[in-house]
Amino acid sequence: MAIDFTLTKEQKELQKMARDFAQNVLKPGIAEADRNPDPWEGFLANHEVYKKAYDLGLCFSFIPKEYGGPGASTVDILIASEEICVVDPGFACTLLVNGLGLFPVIWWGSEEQKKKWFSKALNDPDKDFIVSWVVSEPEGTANFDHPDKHPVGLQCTADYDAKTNEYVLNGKKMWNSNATGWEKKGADMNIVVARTDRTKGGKEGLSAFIVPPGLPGYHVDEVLQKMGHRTSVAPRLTFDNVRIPAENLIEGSEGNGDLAISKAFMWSGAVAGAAAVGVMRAAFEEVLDWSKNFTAGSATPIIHYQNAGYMLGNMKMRLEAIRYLSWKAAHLLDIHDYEAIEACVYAKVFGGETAVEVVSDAMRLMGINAYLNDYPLERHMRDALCFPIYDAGNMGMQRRKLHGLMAHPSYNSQAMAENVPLEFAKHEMHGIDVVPGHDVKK
Amino acid sequence: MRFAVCFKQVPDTSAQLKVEPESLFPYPRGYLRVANPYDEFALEEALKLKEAVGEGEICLFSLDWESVEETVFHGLAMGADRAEVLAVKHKPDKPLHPIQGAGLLLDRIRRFEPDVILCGARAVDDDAAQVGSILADRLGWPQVGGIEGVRFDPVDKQIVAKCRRENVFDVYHCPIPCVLTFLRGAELPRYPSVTDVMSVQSKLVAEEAAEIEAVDDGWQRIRLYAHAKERRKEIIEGEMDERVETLLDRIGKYTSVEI
Repeated sequence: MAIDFTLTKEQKELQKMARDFAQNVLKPGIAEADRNPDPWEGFLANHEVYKKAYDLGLCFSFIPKEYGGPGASTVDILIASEEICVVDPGFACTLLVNGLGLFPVIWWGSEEQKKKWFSKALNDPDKDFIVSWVVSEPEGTANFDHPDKHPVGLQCTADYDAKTNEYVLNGKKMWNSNATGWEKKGADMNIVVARTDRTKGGKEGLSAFIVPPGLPGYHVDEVLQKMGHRTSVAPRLTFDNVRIPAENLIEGSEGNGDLAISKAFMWSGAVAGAAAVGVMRAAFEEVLDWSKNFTAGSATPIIHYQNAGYMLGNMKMRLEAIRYLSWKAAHLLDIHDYEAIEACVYAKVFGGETAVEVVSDAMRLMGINAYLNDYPLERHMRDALCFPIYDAGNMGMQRRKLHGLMAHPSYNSQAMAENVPLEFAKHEMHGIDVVPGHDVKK
Repeated sequence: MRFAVCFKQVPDTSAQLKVEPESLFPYPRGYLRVANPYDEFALEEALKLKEAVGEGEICLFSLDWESVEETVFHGLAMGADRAEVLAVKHKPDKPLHPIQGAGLLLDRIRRFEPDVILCGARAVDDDAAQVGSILADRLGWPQVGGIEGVRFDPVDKQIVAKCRRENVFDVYHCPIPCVLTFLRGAELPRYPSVTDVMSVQSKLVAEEAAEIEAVDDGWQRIRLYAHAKERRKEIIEGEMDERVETLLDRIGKYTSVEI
């Protein structure tokens, strides 16, 4: 039997640990942190919880064993993440952005870079090592692979200064999760994608850097006031001649910054699917319990009415479908060296958009009380509305990548079902749809 | 220092148990299994004692007639060094007498040559609360029961155990070797880290077949039945005195338990 969804003993234990942690350590402070009008305070409210997560290995579970990490697989990470997202996808986002930032180092970093930075991440005496992912910009990011040269596409620049052997970062960034760090001086590692060659388009001119915290010219201008995911932090940044040593250029990412963006957002697509499942689960459990107890003034709880029963069924079947789609995406990432673009796009796009529908159904079933902040459904809705538009938006990036894949002559529509590797070919697939009517082959 | 921890598998404390007719076991098919929460406290305290002493080995002892694999895995992930599983060949048709359970454990624990044996004060499934005492009796070792926290006194090389009695604490000094049974610990049992979970595979789980020996001391479970649950409502009418009388009568009938 090739298809077996039985969890391993390790996965069951991770699931139990993550559930115990989420329910007993994380949950008690979430409602209050979510309602804190100051988004910076809302983020800091979980600083101690983050340290506990660090102790448990939840912050860097994906770092390979050869570098001293726990070496959890993507499927392992999804199973644990779902439990945390049931309680708060915002805190889970803080944890998982560590992966979004560090995977480009795993994929393209030199041996020295991996040894140095993974050791720092795993052995922080303060237990609050945090990594940010700094790609998005205020002028928009979705067309990062546009063929035109600067200032089209990503505008932030990293110019090489041969005299000092440094890169000099200039420009503005926005929506960069974790990039405040815990003291608004930057995260312990800020993975920044910037234009290293102003004469080239997005497919050749971008590279990724490791920017340490506290550098002169690294300014946190504002902490964004978000509708949901309020326990995660996303700032506006300005780089004003931030000087970073040339050795901090992630070795294999030079001229491949576009791939770093695509591939990191591929991995996070599978994880975002699990986040969607977590929020759907929270909404479903809430309204299932409600339906079994609330009578709406009749003689019996509303679950005994067909409409309520069928709505619950429709919610649950969508939740289950997204869970296994996400697991499949994670499994393909694990067996194909983190190349599983099609399944990851589906988990992210279908999962996120379905979560909005399911939470909306949960609210319709509960009725007007769901609109009160006495109940958690309004928070779940605010959190769910982020899924289709964050983490490489479903319209701007995810569907565009899928289009690039499907439009290519090599596309094998059965590959996903048959576990055949599907490579995302940078030159043939990136750049589609960035110019209206533009043909990627030109 | 060597620590033996008795680690029993019980039905999930949040599971709805069903009593099946003709069975003396309250466990329906497919029930969720967890480690006995009191045994988790015992393991947590063993881990802390080992950390305080700075060296030692912790071995879990668990009886198995349905799979205890996941329960033992959990104990190893928490930090036990190894485990001995006693696989009972034939599932008994009635619950084990505590003497039978303790007897099976005793043999193996003896071979491990522990300095301290730690158990939960009782198991949440049968609440017999006897295994620790039987082990202490058979070994001729001192036992402290109902403990809420222990520490090791390195000067006198003894265990200092704190036990709650109503609203006060008793503190005992206990020489080694000894048996300690726990009602809870100074802290909640730890969660295993991702690295702990991923490293369990390298730990030794020794499995040995075990035969249950018959015991006849007159102690046996003769009947197992669920408390009947019935929802009734009645509006009591009449004068106040009359209503109070009727109410007392109803309460009296409701609370009398038929055996």
